[in-house]
Amino acid sequence: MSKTNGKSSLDPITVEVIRNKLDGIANEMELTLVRSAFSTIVKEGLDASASIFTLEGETLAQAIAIPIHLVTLLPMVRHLLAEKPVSEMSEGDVFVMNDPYLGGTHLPDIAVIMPVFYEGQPIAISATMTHHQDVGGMAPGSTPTNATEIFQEGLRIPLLKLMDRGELNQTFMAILRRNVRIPEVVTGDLMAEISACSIGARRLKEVAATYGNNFLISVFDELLDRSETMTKEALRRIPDGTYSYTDYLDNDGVDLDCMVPITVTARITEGDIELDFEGSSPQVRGPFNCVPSGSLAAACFALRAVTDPDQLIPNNGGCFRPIALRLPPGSIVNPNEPAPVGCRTSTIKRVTSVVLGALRKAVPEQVPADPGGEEVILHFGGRRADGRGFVTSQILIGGSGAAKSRDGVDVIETDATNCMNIPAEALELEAPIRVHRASLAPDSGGAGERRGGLGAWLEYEILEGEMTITYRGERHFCRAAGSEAGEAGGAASAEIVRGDGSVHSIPSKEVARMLAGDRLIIRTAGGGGFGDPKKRPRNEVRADIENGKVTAKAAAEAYGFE
Amino acid sequence: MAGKTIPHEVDPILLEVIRNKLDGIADEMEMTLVRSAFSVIVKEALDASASLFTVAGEPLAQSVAIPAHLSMLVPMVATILRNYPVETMQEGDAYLMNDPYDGASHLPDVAVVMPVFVEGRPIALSAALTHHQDIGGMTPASVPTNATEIFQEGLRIPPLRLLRDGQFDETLIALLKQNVRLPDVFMGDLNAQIACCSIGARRLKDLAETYGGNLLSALFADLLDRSERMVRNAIAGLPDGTYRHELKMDNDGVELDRRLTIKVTVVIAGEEITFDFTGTSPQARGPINAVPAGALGAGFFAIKAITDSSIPNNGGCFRPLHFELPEGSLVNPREPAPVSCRSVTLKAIVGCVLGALREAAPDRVPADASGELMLVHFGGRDESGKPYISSQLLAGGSGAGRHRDGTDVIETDVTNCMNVPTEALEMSAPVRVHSLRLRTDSGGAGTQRGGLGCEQTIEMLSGEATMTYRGERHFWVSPGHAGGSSGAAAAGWIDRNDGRREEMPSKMVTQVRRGDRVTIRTAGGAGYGEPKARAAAAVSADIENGKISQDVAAAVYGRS
Repeated sequence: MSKTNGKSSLDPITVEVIRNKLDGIANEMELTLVRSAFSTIVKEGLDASASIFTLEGETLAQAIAIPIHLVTLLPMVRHLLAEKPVSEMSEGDVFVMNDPYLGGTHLPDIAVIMPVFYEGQPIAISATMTHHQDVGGMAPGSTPTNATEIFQEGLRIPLLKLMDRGELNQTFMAILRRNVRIPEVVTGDLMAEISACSIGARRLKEVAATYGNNFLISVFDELLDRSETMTKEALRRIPDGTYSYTDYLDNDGVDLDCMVPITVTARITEGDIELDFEGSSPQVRGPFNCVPSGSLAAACFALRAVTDPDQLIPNNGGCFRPIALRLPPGSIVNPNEPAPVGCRTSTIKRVTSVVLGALRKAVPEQVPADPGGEEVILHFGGRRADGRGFVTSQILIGGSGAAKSRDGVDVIETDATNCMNIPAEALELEAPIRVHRASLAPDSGGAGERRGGLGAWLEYEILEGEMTITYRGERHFCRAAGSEAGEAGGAASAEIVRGDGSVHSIPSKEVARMLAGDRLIIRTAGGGGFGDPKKRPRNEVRADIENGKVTAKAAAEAYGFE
Repeated sequence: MAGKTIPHEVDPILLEVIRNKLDGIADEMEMTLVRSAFSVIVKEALDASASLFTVAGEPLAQSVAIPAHLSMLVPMVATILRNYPVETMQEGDAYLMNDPYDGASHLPDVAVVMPVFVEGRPIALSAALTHHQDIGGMTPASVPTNATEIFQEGLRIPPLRLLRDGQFDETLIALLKQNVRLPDVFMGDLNAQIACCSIGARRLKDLAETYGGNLLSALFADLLDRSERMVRNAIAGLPDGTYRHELKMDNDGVELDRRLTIKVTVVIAGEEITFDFTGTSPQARGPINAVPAGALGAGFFAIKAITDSSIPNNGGCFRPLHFELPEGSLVNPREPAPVSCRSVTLKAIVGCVLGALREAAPDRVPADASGELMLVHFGGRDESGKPYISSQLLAGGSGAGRHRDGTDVIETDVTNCMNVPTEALEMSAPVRVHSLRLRTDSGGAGTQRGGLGCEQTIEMLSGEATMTYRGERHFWVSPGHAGGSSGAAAAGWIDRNDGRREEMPSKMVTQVRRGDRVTIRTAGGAGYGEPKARAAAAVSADIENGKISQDVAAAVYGRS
């Protein structure tokens, strides 16, 4: 994909100014998106992102939001360009889609894509993606952990014109409104996406007005080439070789007693890298299959993390040119239609951590131990006593892995996802729930010279009526491995304590009904430790005990602390 | 809308000719629909119907097909006219919808409505209603018996314009194809609906050429008025009074241990009749809720059944009927209650209405029918990976009347589907039908014996399929009348490949795999009168025909 045009004749200062301008535009798009959204998952969870693409479908800039959205938009933009050449687009056209088997990710992620014109000439593409709170299907929130076909997961939107020269597609809007549980919220978020794309387009036009279309497009090329060159240089610093790593998902949500392996082999040769997922599980019955957009995003993220830890390389499509992916068809990382895909985030996180795990073998000091690597997605849907419906979500995370020079971070989003949890106040406003506890889970960080980050401990009570909860966890059965003699992080767990005192343990994934008075207690996983725990400085062990991160008992057993 | 007498200037012979012509057109539409359809459920089970409507939305004629469909189309046509007033319609338009909370009945039933233009003026609407084999949602065939919200049942289509100038709305088609499991079959059946409506339009135009559009429109009004008059006369012939009946349904598919009640109070006063469903169970969690179109159709059917079946079947017949459907009940649920399995309820509603009217017209209403339309759907992928969805429909026995035995294995009341022949079933899915036979002793004993149910055994030959089973009368049999016994309960089970036997509790969604055998027994109809009073010759014949066993003949009929 590389265009080697030798030495660039462009003024590096101008190029840098334009690059920062583009990042600024993407961030302004993101702000517009988040500020004008209706749903909690976007307003609070920030599960939405904004990007600018070249007319060839390469990423130019992305808002600082969810890393996996960066490349996940890419196959959709490519699908659009393949189906509909830019020459057939008009100013005011806007496209929409969400179908995973046409380049999308999972059905709640609806992409809105707008070609940007200046003086009648297309110059770039402005795109947003939002995780919508509900797109219909068998469970409120549209990510049922027990789906076995994509048809159960919600409304599939093929590539459609959402606006034709500024005219909203009324047929699409009518179908959309009728097939989602909370039409005001979904259409509100969709309009926020259009606004964000429009802001992107307006700002890009202003830039074009300053520099001219042709100059701008040559700067775009230059930016991509530069990132490619820098990424290749970084890759050359990693020793050539073949590195494999395997980690597991607890289960696929349907066949609950079957762990799902994800294996990657990284082959690095002179600045190019091939990631081969041969050996990964065949596609699964449950919704943990990950279409190529997700696998691609995970791989790109992992590579960015290792090649550019100090973020010196401009983040754009050029960074991805040296990557080749092999995704065996019919496998969990490249399933065949109509396999369900709704819960693929868990898989993306595991794909990210196995790629990092493989690279750890090449550069052990640059990659920390395995993270909690779970993003618990929790949806609550039901009706209040007065009949009003609600669907709301919570996102919970575990601890990060310890690295050679530092402890893991407690309760932090790692790798490809970068969402916020929903604050207790927001959750309690959205649904009849009381949050009784949100604390660190003692002893959940993997012991080590550097301790893994701690997981969280939460307790929710249902206050009225009844609701359907969808719980999607990970690391219940397969803990985050430690590195260099560090221990594994604590396992995750979840249980429902019924009003009558009976306890039901949730096996990693479940759709359950909860009634008023029932409590849900969740512990998220900790990150893996790094190095021998016995070598941890004693004052740090003492501090951990004082801070309630490690109990005295665990300090004695794992750290040999007297 | 009170019944007007036919104006003198209308020639009654001409009126009759036009009426028969309209019925003929509707039947030709139906043939087109069935012959050009792709799905087993339409081709074989005939779960589709064709109708003509006035531009005001009153039904003019319906094909001889499923009675329930006629009344179901009425609110759909009304919704389409409300959203797209007839003066905004153009020649070459067609409209589409399926949303039960906008007038439709359940999501698989998709209506196509086409305006018919003569000399630039709309004179009628041509409509086709088809049960599509799959419309997406949580189970193949889109009638999950365990749904708890309509969003789980498939794609909801609000009233939308499908065609303009004969061209598809591409957005709509793209969304439809992407959201159903068998897009080719769906589009095949949808195109058959369009063809059906087009044939209706063409024939109506021919008719208008002969008689003139204005005269035809006037005649339509007369036809409706005449049917209204006839139904009013028929109702007036029934004794005034208040008649009550109540019956139970097995369960709602979700809360399996809770019986549900359908209760009706029928008030006949002069030439008007009111059906009040107060006392009926609140809406259910499971998908057996029936939107109002269901009760309307049931009431209409019941009146037709006990009065004069020669009354021309059109919208005039509805005018003297009134309904009280408590909001939030099984017969008038609130959005987003699930509704996909509402035909079970429709049949119960008809049974209940007929039960109430039995008191008013004892000679014309037999004992309770099995009232069961067993539906089983298989959906999966064959060995080559091609997706399939196929269905079987099996009926039970009808109730015995005062003067005759019930009929074995027959569709009664508002549904009027055919079973799917073995050959068709085996062609459309990897299954083998091992048996299909009458169930000995399933007809309720009586002076007149209830009709028998049947038994079918189906084996899965390869792979794995999602099976949706929807029975009824497992736990609540059809009660006998005047000393007659009730019909046998329905039953069903799966003999798993490993030797285990699993009961099917009236409704379920499950996986079946190669070697599993599914056995279904439909219910019998109820008997009428004391069994001991049954003619000895009739008992002997029943024994010879295997309809009753020696044991039952001795124990129940007192045959020594």
